Amino acid sequence: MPIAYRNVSFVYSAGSPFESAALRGIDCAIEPGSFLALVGRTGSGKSTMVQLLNALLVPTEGEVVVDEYVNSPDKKRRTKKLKGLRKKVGYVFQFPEYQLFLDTVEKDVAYGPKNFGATPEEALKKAHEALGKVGLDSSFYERSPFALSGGEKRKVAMAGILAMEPDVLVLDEPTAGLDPEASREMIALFKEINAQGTTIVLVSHDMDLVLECATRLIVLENGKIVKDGDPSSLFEVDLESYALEEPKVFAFVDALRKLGMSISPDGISNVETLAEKIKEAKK
Amino acid sequence: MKALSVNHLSFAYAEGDPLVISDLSFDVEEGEYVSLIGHNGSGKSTLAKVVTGLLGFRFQGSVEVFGLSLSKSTVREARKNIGLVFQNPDNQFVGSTVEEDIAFGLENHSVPREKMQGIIDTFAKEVGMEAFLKKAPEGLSGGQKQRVAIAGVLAMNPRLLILDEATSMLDPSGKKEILSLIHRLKKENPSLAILSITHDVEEAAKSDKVIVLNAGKKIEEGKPVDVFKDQKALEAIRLDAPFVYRLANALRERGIDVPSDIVSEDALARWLCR
Repeated sequence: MPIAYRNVSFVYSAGSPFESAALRGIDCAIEPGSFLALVGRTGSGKSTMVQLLNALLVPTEGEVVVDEYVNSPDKKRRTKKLKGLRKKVGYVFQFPEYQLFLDTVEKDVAYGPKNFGATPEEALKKAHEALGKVGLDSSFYERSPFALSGGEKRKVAMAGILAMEPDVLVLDEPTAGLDPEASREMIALFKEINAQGTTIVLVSHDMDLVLECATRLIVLENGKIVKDGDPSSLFEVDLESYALEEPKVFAFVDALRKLGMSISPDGISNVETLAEKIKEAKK
Repeated sequence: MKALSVNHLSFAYAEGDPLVISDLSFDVEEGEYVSLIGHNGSGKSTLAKVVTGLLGFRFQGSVEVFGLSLSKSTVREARKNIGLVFQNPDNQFVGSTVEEDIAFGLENHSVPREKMQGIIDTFAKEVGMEAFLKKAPEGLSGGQKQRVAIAGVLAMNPRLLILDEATSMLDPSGKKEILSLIHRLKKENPSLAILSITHDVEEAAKSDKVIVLNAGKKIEEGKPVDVFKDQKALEAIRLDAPFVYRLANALRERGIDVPSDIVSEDALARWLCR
């Protein structure tokens, strides 16, 4: 499903003394099945950009098109019924476990599909499938989501979104606060969902995570796209000027190059690929 | 002197429930920076609450804070020495402005008004928030809110600072802010004891001592270099080794024989390019 931002600007509190522009003339297309990371400092416009995707916000200028849905300030152009768009674009907010609210895991996960018109039986079936995807078996169905560990709660919240079978999944800092193992499981899950065709838009400050997962990277600064390309092109970018951390593996490649080793950052995305490159370089 | 001494501590939330902390013993010396690491659900945060008396006194074993054995009758006295900073910056901001938030603990301790402003200014400055005294929490970043929480705790003049996942909800720059603040505080105040409960192994690698907790039991205790060299053991309990240890291991697996005394990125890079 193609997504297009066409000359999109967004101004908060337009016309008031508190007016502030969050996005300025964004033009970009997101290919179906891609794994896009959206990075930039706090206040650079990342959240605004993804909230336009399922029409939580309406652009001040321009339009955002997701398949047949048009999100535009022009009422004639704007799609009237947006419920279908909300089903298409699943949004996992930061610390989604704070939004769990029903008394059993399966009820909580089945809530979304039910809201979109599934019968109770269908909704439960979808809930069970989604829980299977995140690695929670039937022993979790009847448990209270509030009695689970932090990592398990996060998985239940993820399952709640997956149960709606979105075509596009927006993830906002999805591994924040998780222990390393829970993070690894989540990363494997994102990659698997993406491999099955779901488009993923990842919003994160964690550059190691971005480098490990994403196939495309957009850097936002002051409401504009300042970089758009392959994640390994990050190596050439002065990330500090955008208040971003250099991925650890790239910082290390940098240190090696300064000491005279001839090593290229291409294809390095984690410790394993880095070690492999160092071995080649040392030959 | 021991700032904190935990002896054969066991704790369950209700009678008959599984033990969340099981026969745990360790000490934090005055001036020592100890990291307690473990995965989500290992019992770390429960421990912070037990040793500060927040979960009552139905534990087995003993907890001593600067030699004072923790019980219902001593908890008020013991807490005077402890500053506790929690995980969520939003949940612990109680004032409507930065200065009111720092003043909250002082008011509870009936510090006279004339003295209060001076104390607030001192500790706001200490954490680098002196320019934000009249600001509301809505306008602050997570890292700034945590700095205010730390200022409020420091204003009470604690001898033991307990950080319960104090950086885990922050973005990388917020994390950096807090960690450099903690290291600076320790330098300025060499007798301050710090117990940091965390799953950030990069942070733990920079502390004096690391204690590894799994299922409420201590499974390892020692200097970071000794604890982190066994990557397999850490992975088995759902933790990672810090980056430099993981990279050194990945290189060894590929036949590059990195000496075991190399424990900084800088040293590893120099060794590889020697």
